[in-house]
Amino acid sequence: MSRAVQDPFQRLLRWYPRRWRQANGEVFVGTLRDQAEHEHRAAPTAGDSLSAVVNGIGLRLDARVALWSALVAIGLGACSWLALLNGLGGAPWAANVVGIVTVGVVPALAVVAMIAVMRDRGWVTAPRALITILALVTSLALAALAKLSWAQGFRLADQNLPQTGLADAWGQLFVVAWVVGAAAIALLVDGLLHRTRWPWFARMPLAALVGILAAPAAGVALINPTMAVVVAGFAALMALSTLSGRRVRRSPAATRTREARSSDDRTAVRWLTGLSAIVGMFGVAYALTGAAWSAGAADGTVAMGQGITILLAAAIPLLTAVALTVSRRHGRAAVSGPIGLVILEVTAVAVAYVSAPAWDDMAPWMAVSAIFGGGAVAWWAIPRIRGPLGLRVAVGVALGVGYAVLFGTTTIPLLAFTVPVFAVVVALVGTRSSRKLIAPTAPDPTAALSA
Amino acid sequence: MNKHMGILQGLEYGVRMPAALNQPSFWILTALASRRRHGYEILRETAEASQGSVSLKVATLYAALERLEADGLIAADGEEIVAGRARRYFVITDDGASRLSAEVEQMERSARAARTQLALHKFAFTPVEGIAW
Repeated sequence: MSRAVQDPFQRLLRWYPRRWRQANGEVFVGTLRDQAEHEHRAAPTAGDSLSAVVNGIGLRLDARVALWSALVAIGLGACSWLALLNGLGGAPWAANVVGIVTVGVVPALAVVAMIAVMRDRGWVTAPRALITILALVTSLALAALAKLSWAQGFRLADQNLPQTGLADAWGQLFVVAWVVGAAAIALLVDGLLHRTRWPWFARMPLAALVGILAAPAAGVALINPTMAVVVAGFAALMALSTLSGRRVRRSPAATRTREARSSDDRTAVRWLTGLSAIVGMFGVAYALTGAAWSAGAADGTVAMGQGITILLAAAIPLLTAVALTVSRRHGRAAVSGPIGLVILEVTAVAVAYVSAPAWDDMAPWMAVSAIFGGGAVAWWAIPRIRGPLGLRVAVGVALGVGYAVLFGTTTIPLLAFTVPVFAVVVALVGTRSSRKLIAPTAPDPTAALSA
Repeated sequence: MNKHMGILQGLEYGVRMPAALNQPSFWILTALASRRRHGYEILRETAEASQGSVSLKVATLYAALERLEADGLIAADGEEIVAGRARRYFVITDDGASRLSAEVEQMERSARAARTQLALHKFAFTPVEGIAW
């Protein structure tokens, strides 16, 4: 054992991150020694040690930890869903592993990511962040056990067996998970409100109320892997933004590019959105009433599938209009690339719905659409999020994979019926005459004459 | 603050005001208000000025110093090695002095309001010996 580790004052430094030790270690130990000498001690007090442990570990919860926790959570969530979609490969142990990952590991990592990024941004202190994480992870573990207890209780009830063991403990597990989760959320909310001038009698009851109300909702939401991945994705973006440490500054040239909208573009947007709105409304009408009058629709289900295909076809001119409307300050490829992939995604879903409701025929096209959708999300995100290129690519790819696996086959069909509404919105936004080219201010030559 | 201000307006006022200084930050700024000090001096001065009501741990002190430095309220002012021990000095910035003044003003306003209410309710205001504020 080295001399540094044997020294009781130096030993406390081990709890701190290396960067902090390098910047403050000697001064920190010097102050500890000054105080100990004054109090005739040869070692730190228990209070000093505990304080160093809590602050040191808390300081390790930074944006980097947040980012990697979030990325691992997204990756594990996506892998678990893929495993579930493949029937767990037929392995009997796989169900337990996937269950532990989706209900335990992914939510815990999402919580660590969120709290770590809040700590790094100075919203909560290091000790409060650490205590909150410990309490929230405990609460989530209890909530996961409660979920297992509920499932086991159902199985036993189906077999007409008495509720014993874990199945019998559902009520206790739920209540303890709620109490611990409420305390953790209240601690967090109180920490966030601490910077205000609200008196304690306003702050603490509010924090407690938020904790009591939010704990069950947050618990149920987080042990759902989809929601946990969404939270992790949000934390990853916040962490990356913190790591980059800079805000996007819009240069005058960028502003001009953003605002410039030629009359040709506006005319094209008007025609494209008009076409989308008309074809989209026909698609809605067909989906709802086609079975009554169309020879091609044998029944309501077939009409619905064909109506969705028409709606998705109507989305293609709408997406083209969107490409002409959105800002191009990240470059033309950063707009046309992802929107092109979305058009391919929509086309694949439209082709899939031609075969509706025969899922076996639809599935390959839906899988293709999910891949295009994931690619679009990644391509859209990478140029827009902030930070070093490697991290941006990692976060963009994680978001893309997360979207493809969790939402890739459901989002587009759900949004199909909104095409006429979006067409009207894009028409209103994209053809506003107030959008004018911002030219550099030049002196008015007539001003001198009028003077 | 208007004495007829409602609870919601009061809460809104609370949010819009600069963030309240917590106890460690308040006493650290107070310790640095008179001159530059190193870590252990700040600990001693804080304990003396607060008459023992605030006793910071070294880890808490450095966490608070780091936060105050990040907020621009204090600044590092050189390091020295004394008897083989590293000492870093800290000094209050102009922003820190303004922030402390604003905090003190706020406390005085609160104290005045409390005294006024006590007087209205016929209680005599009797400061307790040994309590700083």
